[in-house]
Amino acid sequence: MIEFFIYLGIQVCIYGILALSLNLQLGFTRLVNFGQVLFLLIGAYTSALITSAGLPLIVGFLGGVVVAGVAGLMISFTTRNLSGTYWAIATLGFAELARIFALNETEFTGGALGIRGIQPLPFSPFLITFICLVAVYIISELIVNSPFGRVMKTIREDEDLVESVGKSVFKVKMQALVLSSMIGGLSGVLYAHYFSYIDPMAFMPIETFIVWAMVILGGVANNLGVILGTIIIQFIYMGFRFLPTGFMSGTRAGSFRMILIGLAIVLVIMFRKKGLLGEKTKEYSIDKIET
Amino acid sequence: MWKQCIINSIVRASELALLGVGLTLTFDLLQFANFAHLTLAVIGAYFALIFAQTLGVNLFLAIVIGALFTGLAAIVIDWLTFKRLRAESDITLMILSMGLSIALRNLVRFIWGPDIHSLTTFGKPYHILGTFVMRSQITIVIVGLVAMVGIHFLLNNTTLGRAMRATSENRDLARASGIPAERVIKWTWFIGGALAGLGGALIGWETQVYPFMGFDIIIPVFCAILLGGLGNPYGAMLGALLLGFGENFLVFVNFGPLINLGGLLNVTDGVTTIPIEYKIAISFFILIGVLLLRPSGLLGRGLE
Repeated sequence: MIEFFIYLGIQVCIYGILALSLNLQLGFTRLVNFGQVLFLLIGAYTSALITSAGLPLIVGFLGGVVVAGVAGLMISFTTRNLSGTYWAIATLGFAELARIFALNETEFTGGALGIRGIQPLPFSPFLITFICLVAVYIISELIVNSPFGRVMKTIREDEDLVESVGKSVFKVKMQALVLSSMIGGLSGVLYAHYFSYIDPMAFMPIETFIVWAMVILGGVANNLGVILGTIIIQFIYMGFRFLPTGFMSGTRAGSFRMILIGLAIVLVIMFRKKGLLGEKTKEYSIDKIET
Repeated sequence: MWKQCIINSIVRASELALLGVGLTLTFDLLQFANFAHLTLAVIGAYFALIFAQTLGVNLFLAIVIGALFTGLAAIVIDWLTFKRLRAESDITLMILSMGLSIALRNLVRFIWGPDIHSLTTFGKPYHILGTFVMRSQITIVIVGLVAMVGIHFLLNNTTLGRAMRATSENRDLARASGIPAERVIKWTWFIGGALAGLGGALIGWETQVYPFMGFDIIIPVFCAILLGGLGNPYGAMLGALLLGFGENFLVFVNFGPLINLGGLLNVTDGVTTIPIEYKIAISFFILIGVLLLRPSGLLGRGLE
């Protein structure tokens, strides 16, 4: 039982980092990324390939984060004219392209068989992933409460307003996307070295939407809420293995938990758009501003 | 070989058009990309499966009934969810449709299981001009053509079609001129859903019926309608035709001279074609290319 909770905790930490990275885009900048799993994939494959080549783990860590950041930068530049729906579809396309590449470049990525025997994390995986989650949480909070974070939130509310005061919307979006993709890359690195095995099936588009469910359920633009959402979704996802045997077949249970995750997105959007914990907002009164 | 490729392209284009036109009609009217549209295609295929196999109805009839039921299902889905959020932003509705699509497609998988079903026994293909054509493929092309002509007449020659165009142009103005906007939206859902159900059932007949069949074709369909111009039904037809041929013929094109920049470089030894395992990626490449170069599509009115 205790092993299960440690496993669950590690999953929460890895996906919590990915959910926090999505929140930087979706929650604070309103970048609707349907391909967030791309950064998980890039982080995981980069670090796995680097460490398999015999380089130390720390190089893999840095490599995964940096390459994911570069991918974010490239996406940002190539899609700079797109917004809303079009941007969302493009990101979905990029993530699937990367997955098809990983699936077919067999000599390079191991193809459908994936990469086995990746160097494991050096000491307690739970401690490492937990430290990373806390660090990412603190960094995210520092970012969104900084002047830069306020510009991000203003872009979310009104892009024209940001342009009118002389700030480049593109530049801020690009920086937010790069930060977010680097954090996403970190979750991929942890994923690869915790499981010691990766294959393209782990990076299907559905993974992105499971992360979406975490962010939406917990509370868009609330980092603590996002972690809460991650815990709840992971509980739904993992808890099914405790169903009494014979109650439901394995595939049925697999479908049922995805029904719950899909319904969670639908119900939250329909009835409680801010999620379980909404965004913390400050109210400024007019006389305070005038004085 | 070439003839077979042309036949395959036409069949593929008809499938993409059947699935794409409904999606683009709802986009035009409600201004959001409905990711649950292709889940309706799955629902149509399973309705056809129920009627054809469990109830033993004639296959053609089963597909038609399945399509009509899918249209009704689309209205029910709209009534339960989207109708309550008409005033919300396109992004909110798009996310809602994504959640719906995950829930519905897993509901199908929950009920019927992940197994692959066939609507009918594998028939003998016809030999036409040295090519192999299935009965299902001929049906797909005929139904596709009839549906596209039907959509053209609907939009131009009927009161409903004119009301649809007016409502998509300006919902408040249409309402002010006495057009019952909600009823028009309901009909659009029915038509879009029925077309999706028809397309799904026909693809299920041609190949197989399985719960995630809709998700496997989502990128090609989006690619086709973006290629023609999102929200334009004729654009969806053109996009479907171009993508149908593109998917089947681009694998034969020699990109060697292009990569070598017409002889300036010598990267490859002359012949470089798209590897066959990347055939499914062609629509992704075209999709991203279109979005980057001309996001409004070939027949689009242009983004704001």
